[in-house]
Amino acid sequence: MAEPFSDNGDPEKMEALRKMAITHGASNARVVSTADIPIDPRVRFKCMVPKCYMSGRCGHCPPYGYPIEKTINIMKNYRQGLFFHVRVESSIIAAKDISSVITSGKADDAGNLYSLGGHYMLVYTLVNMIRKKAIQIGFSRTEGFSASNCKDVLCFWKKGCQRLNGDGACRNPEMSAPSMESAGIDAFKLAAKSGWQVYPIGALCEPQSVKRGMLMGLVLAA
Amino acid sequence: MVSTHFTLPENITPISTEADPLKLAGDLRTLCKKALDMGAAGAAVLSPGDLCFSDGKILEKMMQTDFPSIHWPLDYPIDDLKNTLFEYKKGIFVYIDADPDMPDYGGGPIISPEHMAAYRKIHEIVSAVEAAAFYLGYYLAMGFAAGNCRSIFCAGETQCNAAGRGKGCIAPYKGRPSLTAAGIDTRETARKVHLSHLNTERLFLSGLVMVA
Repeated sequence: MAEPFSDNGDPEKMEALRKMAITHGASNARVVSTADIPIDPRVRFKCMVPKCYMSGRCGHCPPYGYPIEKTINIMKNYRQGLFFHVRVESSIIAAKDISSVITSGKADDAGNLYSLGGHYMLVYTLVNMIRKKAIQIGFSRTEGFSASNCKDVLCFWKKGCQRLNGDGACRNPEMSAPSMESAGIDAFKLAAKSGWQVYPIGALCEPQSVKRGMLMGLVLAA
Repeated sequence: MVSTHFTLPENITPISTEADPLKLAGDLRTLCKKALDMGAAGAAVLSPGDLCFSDGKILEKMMQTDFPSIHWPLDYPIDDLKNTLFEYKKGIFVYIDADPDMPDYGGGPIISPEHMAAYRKIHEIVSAVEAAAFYLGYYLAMGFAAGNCRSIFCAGETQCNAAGRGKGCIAPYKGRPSLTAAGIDTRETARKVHLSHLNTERLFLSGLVMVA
């Protein structure tokens, strides 16, 4: 059972964004108040302790990216957001050895790397589409948060994150977005509060270990 | 580091928003037992308030190392680790006995294979307990071990790859910051959590997993 969220404001416009998200591939979407979005410094630290393979290799990943204070300040400028998820079958997200396949970046015969990458790309695309639509229907500003690191999703074939390794300019400034977790947003907690079944999926999981996985995104609009 | 001793729980349940103190107490006992089963000499539940923090002199000494890594001295300037540790309610402090003749390696290379095995052992215990906590639903569980991760996992490297801009760790998910690098006085903390059998005057290597 989803917990009631407080103060959604602009319900009609937010409903239009919610419907658009579902139409374009989100498995579920919900309007949330920024007051209900959990921000926790532990979430950011989990990217660094122990170090994720992408920590420090992407401009949005800790120790780079948004410090907690910045995320808190962003939230102060918004009252509401659209929180959505894209469902991923456990046969893909918890496929045997998927963790090492992701880390190595070498495609597997089963196609799970590219399939999972496609799901991530959908999350980035949805965040971008929702932000544009929000401006079209009268919101004056937006902020988007996606899932995982944008380097592997948007610049998989490129060597290094250009923002860190090159001239400082992002190759995909329009599509790129920080992940919720990199900004210290506790997406798992928000999903659970939304009544969505979110499982802890790690390297040791296999398809039968969990029912499903989900990738989440968040767009704030004001 | 994934322990060969590790097995997934039979039923991984969805993450809950409900804080259940009874479940947490039971899970902490389970995690302590896991640490002991893996070879820890002792394990005790603690609260963040039990953590004793070092004075600045120790951290200043760490800055002078000729074997620096991302975790020695701990280098996350835009994030505050101490405040983060206090977001947890409970954790587990573990230790293993060390060779009484082991020198203070600080953050430098670990010469003896026996000593290296001990450092790897404490990392393995911490990793397994952290992973077990994760699959029990404590997805923010965070582990700390002993020693400079560069000395333990990347001793042959000329530098810590992760310390370079835009570069990542070449041993991801393995190396953890030491308690010392996190500013924690292990000896004082061990005294405070009253671990039976631990003689705090002797050498030991300690680890910490903050759970929930």
